[in-house]
Amino acid sequence: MTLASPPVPGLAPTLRRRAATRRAARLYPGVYWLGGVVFIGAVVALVVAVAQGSASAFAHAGLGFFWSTTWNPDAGDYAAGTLVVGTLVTTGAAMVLAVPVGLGVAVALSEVVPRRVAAALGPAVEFLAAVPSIVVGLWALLILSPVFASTVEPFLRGVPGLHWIFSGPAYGPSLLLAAVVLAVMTLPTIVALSRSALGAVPAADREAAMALGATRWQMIRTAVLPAARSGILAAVTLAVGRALGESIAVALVIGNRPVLPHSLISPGATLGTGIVNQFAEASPGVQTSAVIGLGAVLLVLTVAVNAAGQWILRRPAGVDTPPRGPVPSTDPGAETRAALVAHGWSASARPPVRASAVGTLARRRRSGRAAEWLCRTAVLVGLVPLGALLWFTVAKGAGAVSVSFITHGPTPPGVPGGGISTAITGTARIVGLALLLAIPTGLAASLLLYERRGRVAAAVRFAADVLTGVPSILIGVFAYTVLVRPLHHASTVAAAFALAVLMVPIMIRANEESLRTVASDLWEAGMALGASRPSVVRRVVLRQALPGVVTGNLLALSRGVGETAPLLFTVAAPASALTFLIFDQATQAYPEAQRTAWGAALVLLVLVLVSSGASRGVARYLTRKAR
Amino acid sequence: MLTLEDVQVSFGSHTAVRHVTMSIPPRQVTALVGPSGCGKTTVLRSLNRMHDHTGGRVEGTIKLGDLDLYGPGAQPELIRSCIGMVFQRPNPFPTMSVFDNAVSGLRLNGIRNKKVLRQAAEAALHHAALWDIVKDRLDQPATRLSGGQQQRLCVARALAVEPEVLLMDEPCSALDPVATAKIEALITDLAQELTIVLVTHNMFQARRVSDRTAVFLLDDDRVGELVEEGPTETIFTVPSDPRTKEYVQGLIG
Repeated sequence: MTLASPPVPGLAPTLRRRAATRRAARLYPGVYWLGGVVFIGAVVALVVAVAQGSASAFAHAGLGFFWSTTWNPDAGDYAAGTLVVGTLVTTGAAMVLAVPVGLGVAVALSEVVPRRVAAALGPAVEFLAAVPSIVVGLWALLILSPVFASTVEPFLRGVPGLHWIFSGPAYGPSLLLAAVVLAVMTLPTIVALSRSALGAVPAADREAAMALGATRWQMIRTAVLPAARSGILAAVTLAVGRALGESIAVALVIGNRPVLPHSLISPGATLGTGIVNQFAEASPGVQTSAVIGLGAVLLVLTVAVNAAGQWILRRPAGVDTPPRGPVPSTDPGAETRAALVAHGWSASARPPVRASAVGTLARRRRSGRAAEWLCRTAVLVGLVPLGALLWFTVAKGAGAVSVSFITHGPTPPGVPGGGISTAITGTARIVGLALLLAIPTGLAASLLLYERRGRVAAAVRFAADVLTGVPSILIGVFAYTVLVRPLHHASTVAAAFALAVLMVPIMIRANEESLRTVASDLWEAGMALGASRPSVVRRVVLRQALPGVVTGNLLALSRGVGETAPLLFTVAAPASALTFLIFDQATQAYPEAQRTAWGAALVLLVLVLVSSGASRGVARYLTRKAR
Repeated sequence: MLTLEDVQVSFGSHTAVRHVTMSIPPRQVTALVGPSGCGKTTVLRSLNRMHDHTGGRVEGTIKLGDLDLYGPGAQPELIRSCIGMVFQRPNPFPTMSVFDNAVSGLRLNGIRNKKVLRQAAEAALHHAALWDIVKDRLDQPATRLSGGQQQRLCVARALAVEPEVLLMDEPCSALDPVATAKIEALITDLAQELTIVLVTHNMFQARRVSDRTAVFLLDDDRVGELVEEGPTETIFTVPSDPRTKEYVQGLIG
């Protein structure tokens, strides 16, 4: 019997239809190769654009561009040194604030507070990770900055012994305020990643410490923290990468003065803010090239830091395979006694373990309780700014938002009654188009990773790692260089392209991860039914992976909605994107403008939280449906 | 002497094991045997209050000598430093060296004196028949040792704290026969100065190394219970409970 003449009525047309499917199947490798190549091409183009764009600045200043501190447009001398210092100082100060607090929160949530409290606070922290940086910047500029100018900075200036880092006039906007903003923004990342590292420490390690008579804190310190250290290190590294590259929120609060800082409360500038403030106004030629050169320096910094973080995360856990040594022939029973006596295992020479255990218990418990209270305090310290941020956005925003605010377009500066309708539709258009570009590319590239193991797959993975670490301001510069400058006008397409470049690596990772979780026996079951590889992928693997794929893509969407930096140079006017509108209005002195900024921030926050909340909901729904 | 009186352990509304009344004599090996899920490990873990952190509720009375382990003044940390434990899978602290693992219990109990730590590590490693193997690699990560050596390091780590009782939860289930034989020899040897409680589902092992055996089975409500306990020879040859006979012979013959 051949398959061409089946005895079962109705099977023949089915098999004929399958021939058509098979033709489609031949296209399948083409699709994923194309996705992978397009993605690699985009990343290569980005690096080339930055390198080429900055070439003349480097030719002019040489390697001294990295550290020299001149920035003199009149003489045509440009170098990044001042801004490198500003970037490192703000990031460093941010980590001094965020790492202890973040680690304390993570330990508290993972080990100390009751499970129910942790279950409530954990999602709240992740939820805060989704808050767009422009909203953090707005809050810092309009709420924190006046407080810093009137209270915090004068107070710090008065602290004896700290004069070397806190001196000079208190303006509000300063390196310190920028560091606080960066700390607030990176705190959720540090907490979430450290917490999962702590949670992954096996129960066996914890019990080993407990069974030796450890108090809870001793257990945390001896068994949990050391075992989680590489995960914690990765969390910190990724936070550093994020802090180095953040430009929009920092640009709002750092004071933008490109001089070598002499105090943390003086204004300054970073590589990212240098690009934000100078790219649009730079005269063509060496000055533009120098601004792109700032981007090149930033790219080198962030890619190096992120690569280190990724490497730490991927490194296999520090368990070596035990060597198979020769089996010693000694019988423990016979020799032990003699050896014990020889080594002083007599009652008199015994270490006074019990006495010490009893004698030190009170002290061990006291210091443990103190440490645990420090962790609980970290939760409060961490939640206060995050809570204040949400509260002010909702309170101030609610005062601005009305039906007409959402349905009306902008009015000229100072004229009341303006709305944000153009910004909402603009953002929707940009993000919609970006999704159209990003979803197919991301899916195809992740299928390449799923199907192939060769060099191209490795290149895709590497490119995704690199791109995840690239600051979004650079992606904006890239889109400007390839789409805006050659065509001579900013456009929705250029903005959408920039956002797509930003979203694709997020999608690739999420997709690949969910594809990998599909059990291989399902795969084999599909193949055993005679289905072709593409149809197994489509009907079995993708269907099973769908919740993860949808979640990942929605997360990328919420990331894209909240991004400002890629739009700065690609969108024609601030009023045609929500985030750009907030950035623009926040810096204007009119109360009306600030009202608009708060209203837009609230709308943006709701949009982002709805899409990141939806990603959870959809994932849960699809998972349940699949069962 | 460890005494258990009508001990019952439950997790939430689920009772894992109940009606456990038995005495565990000092300086002998007592084996707890039975099929999986019958509560033998649960009982073992109640002997050093390991359920405190996993949400298990222990009812009834457990005493070490005159000390009520769940009494009002009982300090779980001190109880655990008197009643040590060795787990199913070797679990040396993965980030510590062999030496640091061996003395980790002493450090946790507040001993800092380097000379004391050095001596104790050497003695404990001798005691666990590991000294000759590791004396030249005390600074290497403990995870480089073989599985059987790691388990003996865990024994050494527990011994360094000088417990009166050592609880062993299927200590050989992750080991090959050669390593198992060594641990068994070690158990026999240790019983000269320690009380050992050994959970195993290997009947041969129980018979080889234990002085007394307690048989746990599931009752009609699918709750674990102690069916019978006594001298190992008696349990395996002339058990008084027909269920014991069935279980012991079913697995042996």
